[in-house]
Amino acid sequence: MEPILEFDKVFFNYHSTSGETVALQNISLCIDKGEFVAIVGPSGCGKTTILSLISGILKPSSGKVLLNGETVSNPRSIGYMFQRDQLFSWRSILQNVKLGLEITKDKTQESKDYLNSLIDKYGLTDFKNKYPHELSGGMRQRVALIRTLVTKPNLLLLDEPFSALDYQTRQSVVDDVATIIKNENKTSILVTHDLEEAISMADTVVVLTKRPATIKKIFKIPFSKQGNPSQKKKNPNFTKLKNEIWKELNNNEEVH
Amino acid sequence: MKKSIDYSIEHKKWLNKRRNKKISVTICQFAILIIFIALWEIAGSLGWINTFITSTPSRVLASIYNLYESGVLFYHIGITLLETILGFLIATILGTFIAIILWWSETLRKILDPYIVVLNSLPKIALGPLIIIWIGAGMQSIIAICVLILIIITIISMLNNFLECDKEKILLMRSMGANKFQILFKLILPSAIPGFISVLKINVGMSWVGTIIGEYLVSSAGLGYLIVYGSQVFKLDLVMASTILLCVLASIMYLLVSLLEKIVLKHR
Repeated sequence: MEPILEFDKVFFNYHSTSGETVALQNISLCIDKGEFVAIVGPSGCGKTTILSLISGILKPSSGKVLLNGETVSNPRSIGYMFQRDQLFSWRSILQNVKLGLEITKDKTQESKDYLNSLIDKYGLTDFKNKYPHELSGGMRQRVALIRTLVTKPNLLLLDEPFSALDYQTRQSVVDDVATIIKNENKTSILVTHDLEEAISMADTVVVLTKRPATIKKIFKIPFSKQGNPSQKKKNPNFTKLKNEIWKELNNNEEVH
Repeated sequence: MKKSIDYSIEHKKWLNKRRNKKISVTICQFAILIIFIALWEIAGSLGWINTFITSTPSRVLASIYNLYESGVLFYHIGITLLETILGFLIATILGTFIAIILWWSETLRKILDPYIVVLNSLPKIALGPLIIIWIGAGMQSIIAICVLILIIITIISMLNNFLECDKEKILLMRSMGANKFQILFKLILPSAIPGFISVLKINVGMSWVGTIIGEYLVSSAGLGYLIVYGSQVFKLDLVMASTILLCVLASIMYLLVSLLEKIVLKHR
Protein backbone atom coordinates (compact mmCIF):
# COMPACT_ATOMS: atom_id res chain seq x y z
CA MET A 1 0.00 0.00 0.00
CA GLU A 2 1.10 3.55 -0.69
CA PRO A 3 1.59 5.84 2.27
CA ILE A 4 -0.63 8.92 2.19
CA LEU A 5 0.87 10.59 5.24
CA GLU A 6 4.37 10.40 6.57
CA PHE A 7 5.97 11.78 9.74
CA ASP A 8 9.76 11.63 9.42
CA LYS A 9 11.66 12.27 12.68
CA VAL A 10 9.41 15.17 13.61
CA PHE A 11 10.28 17.45 16.53
CA PHE A 12 8.11 20.33 17.59
CA ASN A 13 8.79 23.07 20.12
CA TYR A 14 6.33 25.62 21.43
CA HIS A 15 7.70 29.11 21.97
CA SER A 16 6.40 31.55 24.53
CA THR A 17 7.89 34.50 26.36
CA SER A 18 8.51 32.28 29.38
CA GLY A 19 10.57 29.86 27.30
CA GLU A 20 10.51 26.88 25.05
CA THR A 21 8.56 23.65 25.52
CA VAL A 22 9.31 20.48 23.64
CA ALA A 23 5.93 19.11 22.57
CA LEU A 24 6.88 16.35 20.13
CA GLN A 25 10.09 14.37 20.14
CA ASN A 26 11.21 12.27 17.24
CA ILE A 27 7.82 11.17 15.90
CA SER A 28 8.04 8.87 12.89
CA LEU A 29 4.83 7.45 11.53
CA CYS A 30 3.48 6.19 8.26
CA ILE A 31 -0.20 6.07 7.39
CA ASP A 32 -1.45 4.10 4.41
CA LYS A 33 -4.27 4.99 2.10
CA GLY A 34 -7.60 3.87 3.52
CA GLU A 35 -6.15 3.24 6.96
CA PHE A 36 -7.91 4.36 10.13
CA VAL A 37 -5.42 5.45 12.78
CA ALA A 38 -6.29 6.43 16.33
CA ILE A 39 -3.89 8.44 18.45
CA VAL A 40 -4.25 8.07 22.20
CA GLY A 41 -2.20 9.50 25.02
CA PRO A 42 -2.38 11.31 28.33
CA SER A 43 -4.17 14.66 28.15
CA GLY A 44 -1.99 17.55 27.08
CA CYS A 45 0.56 15.26 25.45
CA GLY A 46 0.41 16.96 22.07
CA LYS A 47 -2.26 15.03 20.18
CA THR A 48 -3.77 18.19 18.80
CA THR A 49 -0.28 19.45 17.90
CA ILE A 50 0.03 16.43 15.61
CA LEU A 51 -3.24 17.34 13.88
CA SER A 52 -2.09 20.95 13.46
CA LEU A 53 1.15 19.73 11.88
CA ILE A 54 -0.78 17.54 9.44
CA SER A 55 -3.01 20.42 8.41
CA GLY A 56 -0.03 22.72 7.96
CA ILE A 57 -1.14 25.27 10.57
CA LEU A 58 2.08 24.52 12.44
CA LYS A 59 5.44 23.75 10.91
CA PRO A 60 7.71 21.13 12.48
CA SER A 61 10.81 22.47 14.27
CA SER A 62 12.73 19.75 12.52
CA GLY A 63 11.87 16.68 10.47
CA LYS A 64 9.26 16.36 7.75
CA VAL A 65 5.52 15.96 7.51
CA LEU A 66 4.59 14.71 4.05
CA LEU A 67 1.08 14.46 2.67
CA ASN A 68 1.01 12.51 -0.58
CA GLY A 69 4.79 12.94 -0.68
CA GLU A 70 4.63 16.73 -0.43
CA THR A 71 5.25 19.14 2.42
CA VAL A 72 1.94 20.50 3.63
CA SER A 73 1.54 24.25 3.52
CA ASN A 74 -2.17 24.80 3.93
CA PRO A 75 -5.02 22.71 5.27
CA ARG A 76 -6.57 22.17 1.85
CA SER A 77 -7.86 18.72 0.91
CA ILE A 78 -8.17 17.75 4.55
CA GLY A 79 -11.57 17.13 6.11
CA TYR A 80 -12.13 18.12 9.72
CA MET A 81 -14.47 16.92 12.40
CA PHE A 82 -14.32 18.74 15.72
CA GLN A 83 -15.70 18.19 19.18
CA ARG A 84 -18.51 20.55 18.34
CA ASP A 85 -20.15 20.11 14.95
CA GLN A 86 -19.39 23.72 13.88
CA LEU A 87 -22.40 23.83 11.59
CA PHE A 88 -23.32 27.38 10.58
CA SER A 89 -26.50 28.24 12.44
CA TRP A 90 -27.67 30.69 9.79
CA ARG A 91 -27.57 28.11 7.01
CA SER A 92 -30.01 25.28 6.41
CA ILE A 93 -28.65 21.72 6.44
CA LEU A 94 -28.45 21.67 2.65
CA GLN A 95 -26.64 25.02 2.59
CA ASN A 96 -24.24 23.76 5.27
CA VAL A 97 -23.43 20.63 3.29
CA LYS A 98 -22.98 22.72 0.14
CA LEU A 99 -20.45 25.05 1.78
CA GLY A 100 -17.40 23.29 0.37
CA LEU A 101 -18.68 23.39 -3.21
CA GLU A 102 -19.52 27.07 -2.83
CA ILE A 103 -16.00 27.84 -1.68
CA THR A 104 -14.31 25.96 -4.50
CA LYS A 105 -16.93 27.43 -6.90
CA ASP A 106 -17.49 23.87 -8.08
CA LYS A 107 -20.65 23.90 -10.17
CA THR A 108 -20.08 20.66 -12.08
CA GLN A 109 -22.94 18.21 -12.37
CA GLU A 110 -20.66 15.47 -11.05
CA SER A 111 -20.16 17.25 -7.72
CA LYS A 112 -23.85 18.06 -7.43
CA ASP A 113 -24.70 14.42 -8.04
CA TYR A 114 -22.14 13.30 -5.46
CA LEU A 115 -23.59 15.74 -2.92
CA ASN A 116 -27.13 14.54 -3.58
CA SER A 117 -26.08 10.90 -3.41
CA LEU A 118 -24.45 11.49 0.00
CA ILE A 119 -27.57 13.26 1.23
CA ASP A 120 -29.79 10.41 0.08
CA LYS A 121 -27.49 7.62 1.20
CA TYR A 122 -27.05 8.93 4.71
CA GLY A 123 -30.64 9.92 5.39
CA LEU A 124 -30.48 13.69 5.31
CA THR A 125 -33.20 14.10 2.68
CA ASP A 126 -35.92 14.90 5.21
CA PHE A 127 -33.72 17.40 7.05
CA LYS A 128 -32.43 19.28 4.02
CA ASN A 129 -34.38 22.44 4.71
CA LYS A 130 -34.14 22.35 8.48
CA TYR A 131 -31.71 24.46 10.49
CA PRO A 132 -28.99 23.01 12.75
CA HIS A 133 -30.77 23.91 16.01
CA GLU A 134 -33.69 21.72 14.95
CA LEU A 135 -31.49 18.58 14.85
CA SER A 136 -30.19 16.30 17.60
CA GLY A 137 -26.50 16.32 18.53
CA GLY A 138 -25.85 12.98 16.82
CA MET A 139 -27.57 14.06 13.64
CA ARG A 140 -25.60 17.29 13.61
CA GLN A 141 -22.31 15.37 13.79
CA ARG A 142 -23.47 13.27 10.87
CA VAL A 143 -24.18 16.43 8.88
CA ALA A 144 -20.74 17.74 9.85
CA LEU A 145 -19.14 14.57 8.47
CA ILE A 146 -21.13 14.70 5.22
CA ARG A 147 -20.13 18.36 4.84
CA THR A 148 -16.44 17.43 4.89
CA LEU A 149 -16.93 14.44 2.58
CA VAL A 150 -18.53 16.60 -0.14
CA THR A 151 -15.18 18.17 -1.03
CA LYS A 152 -13.59 14.70 -1.35
CA PRO A 153 -10.71 15.21 1.10
CA ASN A 154 -7.69 12.89 0.93
CA LEU A 155 -7.57 12.69 4.68
CA LEU A 156 -10.05 13.05 7.54
CA LEU A 157 -8.90 14.48 10.85
CA LEU A 158 -11.21 13.65 13.73
CA ASP A 159 -10.40 15.76 16.79
CA GLU A 160 -12.37 14.10 19.62
CA PRO A 161 -15.58 14.38 17.63
CA PHE A 162 -17.63 12.34 20.08
CA SER A 163 -16.60 13.79 23.43
CA ALA A 164 -19.33 16.44 23.47
CA LEU A 165 -22.10 13.87 22.96
CA ASP A 166 -23.99 12.29 25.84
CA TYR A 167 -23.35 8.64 26.63
CA GLN A 168 -26.52 7.28 25.01
CA THR A 169 -26.06 8.90 21.61
CA ARG A 170 -22.33 8.44 21.61
CA GLN A 171 -22.21 4.74 20.73
CA SER A 172 -24.68 5.10 17.88
CA VAL A 173 -22.83 8.12 16.48
CA VAL A 174 -19.52 6.24 16.71
CA ASP A 175 -21.08 3.37 14.72
CA ASP A 176 -22.60 5.82 12.30
CA VAL A 177 -19.40 7.74 11.62
CA ALA A 178 -17.26 4.59 11.42
CA THR A 179 -19.66 3.03 8.90
CA ILE A 180 -19.77 6.12 6.71
CA ILE A 181 -15.96 6.46 6.73
CA LYS A 182 -15.57 2.79 5.85
CA ASN A 183 -18.14 3.05 3.04
CA GLU A 184 -16.41 6.05 1.54
CA ASN A 185 -13.01 4.42 2.11
CA LYS A 186 -11.37 7.50 3.63
CA THR A 187 -8.00 7.62 5.33
CA SER A 188 -8.69 8.92 8.83
CA ILE A 189 -6.85 10.01 11.93
CA LEU A 190 -8.77 10.04 15.18
CA VAL A 191 -7.47 11.80 18.24
CA THR A 192 -9.17 10.69 21.44
CA HIS A 193 -8.67 9.97 25.12
CA ASP A 194 -11.29 7.23 25.02
CA LEU A 195 -9.54 3.87 24.59
CA GLU A 196 -12.67 1.90 23.70
CA GLU A 197 -13.51 4.42 21.01
CA ALA A 198 -9.99 4.16 19.60
CA ILE A 199 -9.83 0.33 19.59
CA SER A 200 -13.35 -0.13 18.22
CA MET A 201 -12.91 2.32 15.34
CA ALA A 202 -9.29 2.11 14.22
CA ASP A 203 -7.06 -0.29 12.28
CA THR A 204 -4.04 1.01 14.15
CA VAL A 205 -3.75 2.58 17.61
CA VAL A 206 -0.75 4.81 18.31
CA VAL A 207 0.05 5.30 22.00
CA LEU A 208 1.92 8.47 22.90
CA THR A 209 3.88 9.24 26.07
CA LYS A 210 3.46 12.30 28.22
CA ARG A 211 4.98 15.56 27.03
CA PRO A 212 7.42 15.66 25.35
CA ALA A 213 5.43 13.17 23.32
CA THR A 214 7.17 10.24 21.72
CA ILE A 215 5.58 7.16 20.22
CA LYS A 216 5.32 4.62 22.99
CA LYS A 217 3.92 1.76 21.02
CA ILE A 218 1.87 1.04 17.90
CA PHE A 219 -0.88 -1.57 18.09
CA LYS A 220 -2.43 -3.18 15.02
CA ILE A 221 -6.02 -4.12 15.72
CA PRO A 222 -6.48 -7.71 14.45
CA PHE A 223 -10.29 -7.56 14.38
CA SER A 224 -10.57 -4.12 12.80
CA LYS A 225 -12.43 -5.38 9.73
CA GLN A 226 -14.99 -7.36 11.68
CA GLY A 227 -18.13 -5.25 11.77
CA ASN A 228 -18.96 -1.88 13.22
CA PRO A 229 -17.57 -0.53 16.52
CA SER A 230 -20.44 -1.95 18.63
CA GLN A 231 -19.87 -5.42 17.21
CA LYS A 232 -16.12 -5.15 17.62
CA LYS A 233 -16.56 -4.29 21.28
CA LYS A 234 -18.13 -7.72 21.75
CA ASN A 235 -15.07 -9.45 20.26
CA PRO A 236 -13.41 -11.71 22.86
CA ASN A 237 -10.02 -10.11 22.18
CA PHE A 238 -11.34 -6.58 22.70
CA THR A 239 -10.98 -6.46 26.47
CA LYS A 240 -7.62 -8.19 26.37
CA LEU A 241 -6.27 -5.65 23.94
CA LYS A 242 -7.80 -2.80 25.87
CA ASN A 243 -6.05 -3.95 29.06
CA GLU A 244 -2.79 -4.25 27.20
CA ILE A 245 -3.01 -0.71 25.81
CA TRP A 246 -4.22 0.58 29.15
CA LYS A 247 -1.11 -0.87 30.75
CA GLU A 248 1.08 0.92 28.23
CA LEU A 249 -0.62 4.22 29.00
CA ASN A 250 -0.39 3.81 32.77
CA ASN A 251 3.10 2.44 32.69
CA ASN A 252 4.05 5.69 31.09
CA GLU A 253 2.44 7.65 33.95
CA GLU A 254 4.64 5.83 36.45
CA VAL A 255 7.81 6.67 34.59
CA HIS A 256 7.18 10.39 34.90
CA MET B 1 -53.98 28.29 20.37
CA LYS B 2 -56.63 26.71 18.13
CA LYS B 3 -55.99 23.34 19.71
CA SER B 4 -56.92 24.50 23.24
CA ILE B 5 -59.65 21.82 23.35
CA ASP B 6 -56.97 19.11 23.44
CA TYR B 7 -55.21 20.52 26.49
CA SER B 8 -55.61 18.98 29.92
CA ILE B 9 -57.33 20.95 32.67
CA GLU B 10 -54.01 21.45 34.39
CA HIS B 11 -52.47 22.88 31.27
CA LYS B 12 -55.47 25.16 30.67
CA LYS B 13 -55.12 26.44 34.23
CA TRP B 14 -51.46 27.11 33.66
CA LEU B 15 -52.20 28.94 30.41
CA ASN B 16 -54.90 31.02 32.12
CA LYS B 17 -52.61 31.90 34.99
CA ARG B 18 -49.92 32.94 32.56
CA ARG B 19 -52.30 35.06 30.54
CA ASN B 20 -53.78 36.71 33.64
CA LYS B 21 -50.33 37.60 34.86
CA LYS B 22 -49.46 39.14 31.50
CA ILE B 23 -52.69 41.17 31.52
CA SER B 24 -52.14 42.44 35.05
CA VAL B 25 -48.58 43.51 34.21
CA THR B 26 -49.85 45.46 31.19
CA ILE B 27 -52.61 47.07 33.28
CA CYS B 28 -50.05 48.15 35.89
CA GLN B 29 -47.79 49.59 33.20
CA PHE B 30 -50.58 51.75 31.83
CA ALA B 31 -51.86 52.60 35.30
CA ILE B 32 -48.51 54.07 36.33
CA LEU B 33 -48.48 56.31 33.26
CA ILE B 34 -52.09 57.42 33.67
CA ILE B 35 -51.76 58.06 37.42
CA PHE B 36 -48.57 60.02 36.86
CA ILE B 37 -50.14 62.21 34.18
CA ALA B 38 -53.33 62.68 36.22
CA LEU B 39 -51.42 63.59 39.40
CA TRP B 40 -49.26 66.01 37.46
CA GLU B 41 -52.34 67.71 35.99
CA ILE B 42 -54.23 67.81 39.31
CA ALA B 43 -51.23 69.02 41.27
CA GLY B 44 -50.78 71.76 38.69
CA SER B 45 -54.39 72.92 38.64
CA LEU B 46 -54.70 72.86 42.46
CA GLY B 47 -51.51 74.87 42.82
CA TRP B 48 -49.52 72.15 44.70
CA ILE B 49 -46.65 72.67 42.29
CA ASN B 50 -45.42 75.73 40.50
CA THR B 51 -46.63 75.20 36.95
CA PHE B 52 -44.31 77.89 35.70
CA ILE B 53 -41.38 75.53 36.17
CA THR B 54 -43.10 72.12 36.00
CA SER B 55 -45.75 72.79 33.34
CA THR B 56 -48.79 70.46 33.15
CA PRO B 57 -49.83 67.75 30.66
CA SER B 58 -52.54 69.95 29.21
CA ARG B 59 -50.10 72.82 28.70
CA VAL B 60 -47.61 70.43 27.12
CA LEU B 61 -50.30 69.28 24.69
CA ALA B 62 -51.27 72.86 23.98
CA SER B 63 -47.65 73.67 23.34
CA ILE B 64 -47.31 70.81 20.85
CA TYR B 65 -50.54 71.98 19.19
CA ASN B 66 -49.17 75.54 18.96
CA LEU B 67 -46.06 74.23 17.21
CA TYR B 68 -48.31 72.33 14.83
CA GLU B 69 -50.54 75.38 14.23
CA SER B 70 -47.62 77.61 13.37
CA GLY B 71 -46.40 74.92 10.99
CA VAL B 72 -42.99 74.28 12.61
CA LEU B 73 -43.70 71.04 14.53
CA PHE B 74 -42.72 68.69 11.73
CA TYR B 75 -39.92 70.99 10.64
CA HIS B 76 -38.19 70.68 14.03
CA ILE B 77 -38.93 66.97 14.32
CA GLY B 78 -37.71 66.44 10.76
CA ILE B 79 -34.40 68.24 11.36
CA THR B 80 -33.62 66.27 14.51
CA LEU B 81 -34.72 63.00 12.95
CA LEU B 82 -32.58 63.62 9.87
CA GLU B 83 -29.51 64.43 11.98
CA THR B 84 -30.05 61.40 14.17
CA ILE B 85 -30.63 58.95 11.35
CA LEU B 86 -27.69 60.27 9.31
CA GLY B 87 -25.40 60.19 12.36
CA PHE B 88 -26.58 56.69 13.22
CA LEU B 89 -26.14 55.33 9.68
CA ILE B 90 -22.79 56.98 8.97
CA ALA B 91 -21.30 55.88 12.31
CA THR B 92 -22.63 52.32 12.06
CA ILE B 93 -21.61 51.74 8.45
CA LEU B 94 -18.25 53.50 8.64
CA GLY B 95 -17.48 51.94 12.04
CA THR B 96 -18.26 48.44 10.78
CA PHE B 97 -16.17 49.05 7.69
CA ILE B 98 -13.17 50.17 9.76
CA ALA B 99 -13.67 47.16 12.02
CA ILE B 100 -13.50 44.90 8.93
CA ILE B 101 -10.19 46.51 7.90
CA LEU B 102 -8.79 46.06 11.40
CA TRP B 103 -9.94 42.42 11.42
CA TRP B 104 -8.23 41.92 8.09
CA SER B 105 -4.82 43.23 9.14
CA GLU B 106 -3.50 42.09 12.49
CA THR B 107 -0.50 44.42 12.17
CA LEU B 108 -2.69 47.49 11.59
CA ARG B 109 -4.83 46.38 14.54
CA LYS B 110 -1.81 46.24 16.81
CA ILE B 111 -0.43 49.57 15.59
CA LEU B 112 -3.72 51.43 16.02
CA ASP B 113 -4.68 49.80 19.32
CA PRO B 114 -3.38 52.57 21.66
CA TYR B 115 -5.02 55.27 19.53
CA ILE B 116 -8.37 53.54 19.70
CA VAL B 117 -8.03 53.11 23.47
CA VAL B 118 -7.27 56.81 23.93
CA LEU B 119 -10.07 57.93 21.59
CA ASN B 120 -12.46 55.64 23.42
CA SER B 121 -11.67 57.08 26.82
CA LEU B 122 -11.80 60.68 25.58
CA PRO B 123 -15.16 62.36 26.25
CA LYS B 124 -15.94 63.10 22.61
CA ILE B 125 -18.08 66.09 23.49
CA ALA B 126 -14.86 67.92 24.39
CA LEU B 127 -14.13 68.04 20.67
CA GLY B 128 -17.46 69.78 19.98
CA PRO B 129 -16.13 73.37 19.85
CA LEU B 130 -13.22 72.28 17.63
CA ILE B 131 -15.54 70.54 15.21
CA ILE B 132 -17.77 73.60 14.97
CA ILE B 133 -14.74 75.75 14.14
CA TRP B 134 -13.37 73.26 11.66
CA ILE B 135 -16.47 72.34 9.68
CA GLY B 136 -18.74 75.25 10.46
CA ALA B 137 -21.79 75.85 12.61
CA GLY B 138 -24.75 73.96 11.26
CA MET B 139 -26.20 70.56 10.67
CA GLN B 140 -22.88 69.11 9.47
CA SER B 141 -21.32 69.76 12.89
CA ILE B 142 -24.21 68.15 14.72
CA ILE B 143 -23.97 65.04 12.55
CA ALA B 144 -20.19 65.00 13.02
CA ILE B 145 -20.53 65.13 16.82
CA CYS B 146 -23.10 62.35 16.68
CA VAL B 147 -20.81 60.21 14.48
CA LEU B 148 -17.84 60.89 16.74
CA ILE B 149 -19.72 59.74 19.82
CA LEU B 150 -20.85 56.51 18.14
CA ILE B 151 -18.04 55.45 15.89
CA ILE B 152 -15.28 54.45 18.31
CA ILE B 153 -17.51 52.18 20.34
CA THR B 154 -18.94 50.74 17.11
CA ILE B 155 -15.44 49.91 15.87
CA ILE B 156 -14.44 48.28 19.16
CA SER B 157 -17.64 46.25 19.53
CA MET B 158 -17.70 45.07 15.92
CA LEU B 159 -14.02 44.17 15.93
CA ASN B 160 -14.44 42.09 19.10
CA ASN B 161 -17.45 40.56 17.49
CA PHE B 162 -15.39 39.52 14.44
CA LEU B 163 -12.48 38.25 16.53
CA GLU B 164 -14.79 36.11 18.67
CA CYS B 165 -15.55 33.90 15.68
CA ASP B 166 -14.72 30.27 16.43
CA LYS B 167 -11.17 29.39 15.34
CA GLU B 168 -12.31 25.90 14.37
CA LYS B 169 -14.86 27.35 11.96
CA ILE B 170 -12.09 29.39 10.32
CA LEU B 171 -9.91 26.28 10.09
CA LEU B 172 -12.83 24.41 8.55
CA MET B 173 -13.24 27.11 5.90
CA ARG B 174 -9.52 27.05 5.17
CA SER B 175 -9.49 23.29 4.87
CA MET B 176 -12.11 23.68 2.15
CA GLY B 177 -9.75 26.07 0.37
CA ALA B 178 -11.46 29.35 1.33
CA ASN B 179 -9.58 32.60 0.80
CA LYS B 180 -9.81 35.52 3.19
CA PHE B 181 -12.67 37.17 1.27
CA GLN B 182 -14.73 34.00 1.47
CA ILE B 183 -13.97 33.63 5.18
CA LEU B 184 -15.12 37.23 5.66
CA PHE B 185 -18.32 37.03 3.66
CA LYS B 186 -19.40 33.47 4.33
CA LEU B 187 -18.35 33.18 7.97
CA ILE B 188 -17.21 36.30 9.84
CA LEU B 189 -19.97 38.68 8.72
CA PRO B 190 -22.93 36.28 9.01
CA SER B 191 -21.79 35.04 12.40
CA ALA B 192 -21.41 38.64 13.61
CA ILE B 193 -25.04 39.55 12.86
CA PRO B 194 -26.38 39.01 16.42
CA GLY B 195 -23.54 41.20 17.71
CA PHE B 196 -24.28 43.73 14.99
CA ILE B 197 -27.88 43.94 16.16
CA SER B 198 -26.80 44.69 19.74
CA VAL B 199 -24.49 47.40 18.39
CA LEU B 200 -27.47 48.83 16.49
CA LYS B 201 -29.53 48.84 19.68
CA ILE B 202 -26.84 50.71 21.60
CA ASN B 203 -26.28 53.12 18.70
CA VAL B 204 -29.97 53.95 18.38
CA GLY B 205 -29.96 55.31 21.93
CA MET B 206 -26.54 56.93 21.65
CA SER B 207 -27.35 58.67 18.35
CA TRP B 208 -30.09 60.66 20.10
CA VAL B 209 -27.59 61.67 22.78
CA GLY B 210 -25.15 62.78 20.08
CA THR B 211 -27.71 64.77 18.15
CA ILE B 212 -29.20 66.56 21.15
CA ILE B 213 -25.76 67.44 22.53
CA GLY B 214 -24.85 68.71 19.07
CA GLU B 215 -28.00 70.79 18.94
CA TYR B 216 -27.27 72.20 22.39
CA LEU B 217 -23.90 73.40 21.14
CA VAL B 218 -24.88 74.73 17.76
CA SER B 219 -28.27 74.80 16.09
CA SER B 220 -31.07 76.97 14.79
CA ALA B 221 -33.68 74.24 14.54
CA GLY B 222 -34.58 70.84 15.94
CA LEU B 223 -35.93 69.49 19.21
CA GLY B 224 -32.65 70.08 21.05
CA TYR B 225 -32.78 73.68 19.83
CA LEU B 226 -36.35 74.03 21.15
CA ILE B 227 -35.23 72.70 24.54
CA VAL B 228 -32.36 75.18 24.79
CA TYR B 229 -34.45 78.04 23.43
CA GLY B 230 -37.38 77.21 25.71
CA SER B 231 -35.20 77.10 28.81
CA GLN B 232 -33.54 80.41 27.93
CA VAL B 233 -36.83 82.28 27.56
CA PHE B 234 -38.40 80.28 30.43
CA LYS B 235 -41.03 78.65 28.23
CA LEU B 236 -40.90 75.39 30.13
CA ASP B 237 -44.04 74.11 28.43
CA LEU B 238 -41.99 74.05 25.27
CA VAL B 239 -39.06 72.28 27.01
CA MET B 240 -41.37 69.60 28.38
CA ALA B 241 -43.17 69.21 25.06
CA SER B 242 -39.89 68.73 23.16
CA THR B 243 -38.61 66.24 25.72
CA ILE B 244 -41.76 64.17 25.43
CA LEU B 245 -41.58 64.25 21.64
CA LEU B 246 -37.97 63.02 21.90
CA CYS B 247 -39.10 60.21 24.17
CA VAL B 248 -41.69 59.07 21.64
CA LEU B 249 -39.34 59.30 18.63
CA ALA B 250 -36.48 57.44 20.37
CA SER B 251 -38.85 54.67 21.44
CA ILE B 252 -40.18 54.25 17.90
CA MET B 253 -36.65 53.98 16.51
CA TYR B 254 -35.72 51.42 19.18
CA LEU B 255 -38.84 49.39 18.40
CA LEU B 256 -37.91 49.36 14.71
CA VAL B 257 -34.48 47.90 15.55
CA SER B 258 -36.11 45.31 17.83
CA LEU B 259 -38.39 44.36 14.97
CA LEU B 260 -35.39 43.98 12.68
CA GLU B 261 -33.78 41.78 15.33
CA LYS B 262 -36.79 39.46 15.39
CA ILE B 263 -36.77 39.10 11.61
CA VAL B 264 -33.01 38.61 11.24
CA LEU B 265 -32.46 36.26 14.17
CA LYS B 266 -35.32 33.92 13.34
CA HIS B 267 -33.05 30.93 12.89
CA ARG B 268 -30.52 31.40 15.68
